[in-house]
Amino acid sequence: MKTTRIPVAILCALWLPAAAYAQSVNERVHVLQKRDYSVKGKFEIGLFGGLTVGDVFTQQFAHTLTFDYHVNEALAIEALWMSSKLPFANGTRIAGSGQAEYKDDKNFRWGETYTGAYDQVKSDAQLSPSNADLVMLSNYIGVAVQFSPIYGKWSLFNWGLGHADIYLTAGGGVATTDYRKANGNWVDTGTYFVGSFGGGFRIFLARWLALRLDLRDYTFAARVEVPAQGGGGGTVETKIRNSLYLMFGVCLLFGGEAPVEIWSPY
Amino acid sequence: MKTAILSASLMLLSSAALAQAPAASITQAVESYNAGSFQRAALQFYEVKQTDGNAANRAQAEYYLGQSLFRLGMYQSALAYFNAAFVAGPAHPYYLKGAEGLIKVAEALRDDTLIPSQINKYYNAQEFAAMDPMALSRINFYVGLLLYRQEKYGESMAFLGAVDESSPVFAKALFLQGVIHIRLGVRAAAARDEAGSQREYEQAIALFERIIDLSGREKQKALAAIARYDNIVRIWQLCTLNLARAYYGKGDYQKAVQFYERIPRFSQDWADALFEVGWAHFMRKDFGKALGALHTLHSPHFGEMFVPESWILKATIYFHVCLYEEAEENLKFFEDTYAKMIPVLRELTEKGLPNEAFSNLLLKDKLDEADPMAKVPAMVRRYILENPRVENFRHFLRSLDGEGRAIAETSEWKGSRLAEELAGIVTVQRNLLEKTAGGFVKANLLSAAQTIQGFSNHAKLIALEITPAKRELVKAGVSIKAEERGRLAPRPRVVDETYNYWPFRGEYWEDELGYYEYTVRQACLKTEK
Amino acid sequence: MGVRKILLIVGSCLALSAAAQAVAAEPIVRNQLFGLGGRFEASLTPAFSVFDKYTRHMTISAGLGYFFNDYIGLEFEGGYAVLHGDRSLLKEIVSTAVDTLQGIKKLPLSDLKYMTWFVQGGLVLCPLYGKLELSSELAVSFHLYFVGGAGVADWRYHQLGDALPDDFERIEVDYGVKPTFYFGGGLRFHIARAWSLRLEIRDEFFYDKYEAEHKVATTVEPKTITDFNHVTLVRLSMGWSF
Repeated sequence: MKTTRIPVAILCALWLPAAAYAQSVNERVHVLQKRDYSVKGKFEIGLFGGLTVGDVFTQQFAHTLTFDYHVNEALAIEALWMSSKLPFANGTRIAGSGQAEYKDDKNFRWGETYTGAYDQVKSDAQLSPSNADLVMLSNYIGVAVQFSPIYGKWSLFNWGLGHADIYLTAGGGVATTDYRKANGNWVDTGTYFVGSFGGGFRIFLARWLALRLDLRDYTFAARVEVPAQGGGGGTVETKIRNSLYLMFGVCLLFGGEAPVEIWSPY
Repeated sequence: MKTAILSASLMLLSSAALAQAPAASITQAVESYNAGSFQRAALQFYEVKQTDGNAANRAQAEYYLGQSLFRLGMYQSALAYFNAAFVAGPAHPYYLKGAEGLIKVAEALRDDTLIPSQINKYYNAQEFAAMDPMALSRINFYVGLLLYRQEKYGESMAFLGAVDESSPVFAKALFLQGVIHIRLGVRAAAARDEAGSQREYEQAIALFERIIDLSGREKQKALAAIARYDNIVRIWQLCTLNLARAYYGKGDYQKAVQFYERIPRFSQDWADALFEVGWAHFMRKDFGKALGALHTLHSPHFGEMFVPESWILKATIYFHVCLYEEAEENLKFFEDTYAKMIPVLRELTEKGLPNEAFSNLLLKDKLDEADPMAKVPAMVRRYILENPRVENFRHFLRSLDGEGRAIAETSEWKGSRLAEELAGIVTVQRNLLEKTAGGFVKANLLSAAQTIQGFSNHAKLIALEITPAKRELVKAGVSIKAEERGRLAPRPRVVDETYNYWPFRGEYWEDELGYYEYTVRQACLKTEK
Repeated sequence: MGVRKILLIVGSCLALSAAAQAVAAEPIVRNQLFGLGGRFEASLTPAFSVFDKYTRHMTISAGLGYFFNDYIGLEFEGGYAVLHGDRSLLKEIVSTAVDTLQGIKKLPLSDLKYMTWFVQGGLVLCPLYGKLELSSELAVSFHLYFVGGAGVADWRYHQLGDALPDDFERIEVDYGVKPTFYFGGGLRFHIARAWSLRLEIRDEFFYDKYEAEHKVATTVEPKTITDFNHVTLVRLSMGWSF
């Protein structure tokens, strides 16, 4: 918590002074409120579903399983597995050199698709996007650190009260990547280290239940080997790709501080 | 007054009633009763009671007439016949049963005054020893409650102490004893008997702890206690509040604060707890928290609550921290809001209105402009209406109105002397209830006027103290304006990361109520105390 | 969209906000500091496009809004795209297919049009009021809001030149002023009684029926592209209310 104090103090100085709202020059009124939804020391298991946003040619659907431990209110560590394809399943391999190519004979890749723009570029305009622009993450496993310095609350139409944590996250892991060739076959482009960063918020429905909306960018190197054509040598096309995932999740929280019972006969 | 109500009922009951043909036998009446035909049974018992030559039959009929009416939900009517059996004394074969019947009616009508007073009047310890211990415990509790209200604490304790441990009212009886010890502690403290006062508070604490111990402080045992004792959850809540009061009385303000803070927010005791914890913080010189508690009490959530003393406490705190302008502002608020009520309240209570005129405040949902009760300030009206006894009055009134309608609508009784007699009982009781409710309102209006007057005098004392304090500042060559005398105290420390800090800017969030804390300018000169 | 439909939407929103005020008989927030009802708001908004397909934008706009109550208001604004044009992605694709595109002037792709100026107006709905606490140090009140409306905008696109890929962006075609719609949402952070900072994401779109060209074997033939042309903007605006 202390680590956030300095930047926040600078922000405070930039912000218009709250003193403008005080009632009397000789007193200040403060609210020191016990959080209704404390996460300190809690474990969190989340199941997410979502899709990529913003990519021109690729459109992925994915699910993510997360396991978080909240070291304190502001810091959590997270392990996650995100998948758009059944892990380790590829279908029938087609013989040949270079990157492994598979026949698209089973629906393993349930979350890996291409956009309408891709079809339009291919069929209407008869153009070809770079193969590296078509590479997708099929499975990702990694860890992340979550920093949530912001706690918020709100009322909807001045009725009902909601609470949320707003967080930033950064991490890394490994991912398998692939793309679909024009002939419909899938090419395994390899396993790479992937960096991720993003943010989101956690809306508390109960002390044990939260909804999360998470926007996370995964950065990876898409490396596509183009086999030799005729007498010439093959080429390697490499691009740094970003996949931005918008995920919605349901999370269960357990452990941590027992709820504050202000009064109980027990 | 209370005796008059019962006497009037009895007069009606004893008025000669002509028997109506054909006369029923006690056997037929009992058969109807056993068959669950209570309307017919009541009519037949009434005929037996009026016409049967056998005294034993008449006595039996009298009691079972009460029972039949009770089973029909006609509690006021039943009361008349149970009471007749009871006041007839031990010679009546249903004397003890009559007493038990009275307690059943008292609970059904939520009457903790009239019937207990009647039982107390004819209480016969020797005869009551033969009664079912559970029923006797209830009688002892209600009589104890009545005597407590009459401030006869010694006698009350004797009755309450006689309540059986296995009785459902045992926890209530213990609680009332604890409250009496607190009252006695206050009394001893006023008489400067410090040791006596401490002793009383300690006894009170021991009793309240004993009641909480009935929960076993463990869920399963607590659930068993909830099933066993009347209203025990509420009693536990009240014990928490009263433990806080007892520790406050003992001068252990730290512990008092702990218990006050255990009162659930938004519960019915919360406003009392906020005000009282304000005093406890003040006594601990924790002025920021004291002002914070009052800030919640004065928030829009509580609206215009009748809490005159809270403004005096606020002014006192400001005086203690040398913020004289703020103290004067609060005194002015008290003067403008509360002191102005005194003439209105005095006029209402001193112009000789009959008690019935006061009852409108309780019994009518909307008051006409011409009604004198419309002049009662809204804050005082709300204060009176929030008294738990008001709901009892209203319940009693609803019960009487319902009973009157039921009597008129019972086809089997149409044109009977029984119907006529019961209608008379209900009408008389309703009139008397209006008088009693009116008396309650009048007493509360008087009490409100006296309370305000008392604090008004206190306000004048504070104002008198402020003047020389300001003079001292001038003499010391220091500005009267607090902002030129010292620095604002720093923001309070956030307890730990599970707490949120929000600056208050005039916006009241419902969930933040109860979490306010003030910091004030350190405006006292070093020599000032 | 007909006037009747617009009136119907405005009426529904007003009814909804009136119902919301009725519901709030036991309000969560009393003495709300940043009420919007009955206030005008002038705003200046820089914005940049995100999730771009083939075009990119940076715009600046000025607007005026009025709130009927705390929950609903109307806004009008006009703006200009100080930066508008194509993304390098399009040029890259074109450069890899110079032979295929010989003779084609109008690419048969959707979302090729970019905005230059726009004037629009619509509804603002603010259902949610809250506050954020940053590390127990700073508290900021906010409104979550949604916007939706319509207006007109000037749209343009680039034709392909004869000497691809170098003169790819040399010919700008004025596509005309089109009825344009928008919807979006964001957060209004209140930094003082009269000043607020809005962070918003907004999608601007128009219905595009575009006569393009494509090749069938070696012949260039016309092709009609019908689709919505979208521009998604992230807007950061400073508002002053009075």
